[in-house]
Amino acid sequence: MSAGVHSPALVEVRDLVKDFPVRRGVVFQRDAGTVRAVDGVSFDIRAGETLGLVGESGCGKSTTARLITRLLAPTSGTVSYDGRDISTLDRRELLPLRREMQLVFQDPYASLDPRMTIGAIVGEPLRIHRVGSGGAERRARVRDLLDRVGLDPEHHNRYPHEFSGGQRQRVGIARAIALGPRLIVADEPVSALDVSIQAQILALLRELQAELGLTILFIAHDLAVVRQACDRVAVMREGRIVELADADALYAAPQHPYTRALLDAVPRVPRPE
Amino acid sequence: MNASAETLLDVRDLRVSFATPDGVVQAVDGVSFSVAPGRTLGIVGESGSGKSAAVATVMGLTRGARNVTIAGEVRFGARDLLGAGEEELRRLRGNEIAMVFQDPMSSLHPLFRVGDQLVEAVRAHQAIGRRAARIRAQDMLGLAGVPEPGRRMEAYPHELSGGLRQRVMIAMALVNEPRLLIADEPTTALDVTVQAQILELLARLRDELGMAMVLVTHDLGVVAQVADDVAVMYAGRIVETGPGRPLFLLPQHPYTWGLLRSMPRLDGPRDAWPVPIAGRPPSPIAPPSGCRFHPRCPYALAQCSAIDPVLQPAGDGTQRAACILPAPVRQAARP
Amino acid sequence: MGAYVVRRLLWLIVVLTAISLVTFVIFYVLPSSDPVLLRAGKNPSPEVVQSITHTLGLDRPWYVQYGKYMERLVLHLDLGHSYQNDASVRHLLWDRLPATLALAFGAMVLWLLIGIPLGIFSAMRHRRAGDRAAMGVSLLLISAPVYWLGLVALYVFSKDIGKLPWLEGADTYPTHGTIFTNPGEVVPSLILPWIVLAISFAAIYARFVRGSLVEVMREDYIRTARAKGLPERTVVLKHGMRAAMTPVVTILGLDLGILLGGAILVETVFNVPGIGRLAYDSIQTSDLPMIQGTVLVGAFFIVVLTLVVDLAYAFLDPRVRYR
Repeated sequence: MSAGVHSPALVEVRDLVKDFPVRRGVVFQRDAGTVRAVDGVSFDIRAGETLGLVGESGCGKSTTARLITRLLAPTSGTVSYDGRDISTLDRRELLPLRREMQLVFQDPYASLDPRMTIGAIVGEPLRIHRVGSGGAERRARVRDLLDRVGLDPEHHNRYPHEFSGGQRQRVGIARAIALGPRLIVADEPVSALDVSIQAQILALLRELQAELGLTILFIAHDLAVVRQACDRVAVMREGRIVELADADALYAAPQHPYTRALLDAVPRVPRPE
Repeated sequence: MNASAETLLDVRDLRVSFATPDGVVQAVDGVSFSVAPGRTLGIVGESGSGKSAAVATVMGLTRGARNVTIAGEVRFGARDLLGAGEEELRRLRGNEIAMVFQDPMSSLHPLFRVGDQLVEAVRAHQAIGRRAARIRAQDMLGLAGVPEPGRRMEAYPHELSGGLRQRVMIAMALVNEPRLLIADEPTTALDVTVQAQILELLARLRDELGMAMVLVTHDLGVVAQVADDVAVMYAGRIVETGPGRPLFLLPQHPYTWGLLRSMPRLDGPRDAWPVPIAGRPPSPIAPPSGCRFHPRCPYALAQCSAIDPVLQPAGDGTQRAACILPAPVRQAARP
Repeated sequence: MGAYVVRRLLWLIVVLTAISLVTFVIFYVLPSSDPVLLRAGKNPSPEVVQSITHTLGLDRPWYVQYGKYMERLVLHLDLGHSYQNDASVRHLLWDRLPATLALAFGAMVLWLLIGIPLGIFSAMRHRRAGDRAAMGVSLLLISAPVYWLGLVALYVFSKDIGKLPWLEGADTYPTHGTIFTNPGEVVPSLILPWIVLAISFAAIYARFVRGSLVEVMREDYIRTARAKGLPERTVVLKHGMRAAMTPVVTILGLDLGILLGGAILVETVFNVPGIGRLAYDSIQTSDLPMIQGTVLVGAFFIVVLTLVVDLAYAFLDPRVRYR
């Protein structure tokens, strides 16, 4: 497990706020109110660490993920990547950064285009960012990536529906690491998977992190799932972070009542001692 | 688990298969279990284990599927469910046997108000007037922990939160006080804290109404919390059964060990990562020879690919496991 | 919601203005024609030509002319004068409207009565013999051009020339009265046109209902309905159809909107004096004011019915709410 504890911050989030407008008006629409999805969130993601962001549905964790990767622009507050303020950059300026930050999504059934072969899906980022000197080189890299995530490279021209949920998630991960990013934001990457497959994907992410020196923001709704994977954990509720601590400390002695409630809610399995 | 003198639901050697263009899918391959009145059976399995197909068949919901073949015996009390006519089954559904499904958002009709859907459930089986049915429905919503039930009756499903919707589904299932409730992954789509509340609700209602319950899930933790007896399914078969506590403390089948080891835990050392089960669940069309689990089993012997194990008594005598590993080997190998 | 309706009605005005402008410019810019002759229709007398030139101020630039047209339209609801027919456009349109309304609504009722049950029947026998037969027949009927169907229908059933002379043929719509004032003569004359128009639409709707219902029956809430112990009839007709009909209502409104602008082909084959026939005639004679009039009426109905459909959708599906 990487020790990002004393590393510099790769991502800095300060007082991040995101409002979604509710519109009213006849001809000229004006804002009648807002939904505040993220309400003043501040934290760092240190280089090399895995930071867990845990909360229940509607707490704003997915919105935060999108703000960090600039799929959304913040209403106020700042997001800095590698020391540079990226909060207000436009699409053109963000394009080179996209190579460094990648997302892995929750639903392996919805996040892969059913009309593209998995080879095309994994190769698409390479194509967009013009990596490699031509089709042949890119194809070789795609096969390499498929192999790296535990899939058979010979299956590159199969379609997503021919694979299981766990395999599709591997495709999503292959796509995410294709450009050699430094930061992976994994938005509930194992929630839709069976327990034994979850363990496989967690193991894969752990291997890849060690091998590629990744920094990971791991978003989940279940504190149990991230317990091993994360160095530090942030607990989020109603747009705010209620607790942020080293994993050891958080699981051993949770400070905030909501964290305690989340931990208590996980059903326990009796164990032989 | 014993088939005690009085069993409410008795399933024997249930087989359900679907003919598809790619071949015959044997979804349920010789499954037997029983539930006594007031007891809760947890059926645990991952995707493709056949658990949902098995319980859907008990309710007769797979009958209409294309190219389906159902064999075996399902008895509810004295009644033969597999041989029963559609009308007889219809009278039992939502009445004596009720079912709660996984995703309450898609399981409730989006275009009808919640109250109307509940009233419909009441009047399908009770010859009472609309007003009386509404009162009954509202009472049930209250019992299911829905705040301001009168107001909620007028809501549409999409206006309610996930937890409330599941409470509505539960109320709808229990409104005619069934003797048996089948819950297929009732908490999988819900947040952790809501999940805990719903499980508590199910347990409470089960006790209050004296119901038997079959809880189908992939989450061992859920089963540990609610079930008296547990059956573990893999590739269409039951590989292990037994009362809850012994199963968790002294599991007898390598698949169960694998499941327990791959579960994320809040107890134990923090750097003990969940251990995945190698490989993938088998294709339901071309399952492995012999024991279905042997390709993924770290303890497989040569004979495991040839012999198809049946459930044998194991452990403390109340448990059964379908595994040919000799008891001392299992003892040593168990986590 | 009220704000939404007002907004859509404002857009209606914008759309109609845009359409009238486009129509005007197209005809104005037509290279091979003399603007005067366009308005006068074919073979006008010199007096007419002079009168038009004077009245419409054709020595003025086109946007001024358009301005005058719009001024007349907005202030006096005057759509111009059809020299070919020697009547005001508005009067003619108003006169012809009842026939089109009768034709469109009558056909609609008929195609729904045929198409929807057929679609349900097909959906419930999904992929089996009954379904394949029904969908095969409907495919044939959709592929057949409606004017061909009309001519065949006349050939077979028309009282004057048909082989099985059971129904009134073409040209039997009475010269006086509408379906409200003179149903005895109007209705028999419309039976064949209704059937012909309804057949092609019924086929489309049967396919559509089938597809929609098959998808709906796969949904989880249908499984819940069965698990509640409801009779299969209720599951299909109440739970299934309620959800399946919403998209059908959408296309129904659009189809109706188009038909209200005039079912040109059917009206022409059967010589029903509706707006469609009027449009056909005026195109034949290059009667610009008349053409513009029918185009505007058609556009009006389509836009209004689109709005009605959207409102109906919000009414039918509580998840959809407009702000």
